[in-house]
Amino acid sequence: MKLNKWLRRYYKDQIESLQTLDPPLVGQRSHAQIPSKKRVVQWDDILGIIVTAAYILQFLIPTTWFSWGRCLSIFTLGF
Amino acid sequence: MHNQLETWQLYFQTQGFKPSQEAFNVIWMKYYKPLLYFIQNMIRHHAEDLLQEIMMKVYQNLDRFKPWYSFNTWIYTIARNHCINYLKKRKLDLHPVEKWETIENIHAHSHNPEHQLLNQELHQHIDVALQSLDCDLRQIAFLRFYEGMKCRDIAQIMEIPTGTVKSRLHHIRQTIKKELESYDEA
Repeated sequence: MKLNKWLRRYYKDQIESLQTLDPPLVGQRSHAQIPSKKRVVQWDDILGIIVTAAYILQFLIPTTWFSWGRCLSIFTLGF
Repeated sequence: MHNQLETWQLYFQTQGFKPSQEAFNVIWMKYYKPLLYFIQNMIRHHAEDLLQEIMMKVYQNLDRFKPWYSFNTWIYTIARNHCINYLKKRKLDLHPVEKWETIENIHAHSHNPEHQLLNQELHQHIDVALQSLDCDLRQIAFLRFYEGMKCRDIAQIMEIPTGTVKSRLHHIRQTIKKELESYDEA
């Protein structure tokens, strides 16, 4: 029993001697750490895909489609 | 200690285990120092960073805690597993032999000179005895003698059989008693 008492006092002193730390703000941190899984598609995302597709198309597809692809890319780049 | 326990337990009994800043503050005030000490038994460096990570993990999983389990066991299990994962990720030794804070430094924090004189020698002997034990044994000693946990709960945290906890506690007692014999004689 004496040993238990001594050890308990020893640990208590050790723990009391530790530096005091303030609790962090969890609300803000937790939101920052867990980003929302829901991804909203923006209009500029779609426009970016169209521009890229048009640019690639003008090299891949000859004749009529070539001009359509080029027109589309010039049109969208003009924005 | 008992009143403190009742106060924080009362909070969760009335409010439930819902993650909130208030709940986090209650857990933080109750556990941050013992947890920091527990972590320092395993990892001396970055213990404060690990404490914050563990506390965040506890907070984020608070609504998953089943009230019929022991909260003490749950929080120390999270802490130990987090530390083990940290050491494994960095391929560090699971039982780093690191020098503990010297007794002079520890008592520099105490402002009561009488208290210092009474305890310094005894604590030096305990310190020497605990330093001679490996990391797992030091953690078992802490959980038993500071937290007053049952062997069954310690076994759950340490992931070892209850019988092993009992035999290790016997070894811890023998080691400390042997070291304290000289103090007792004096």
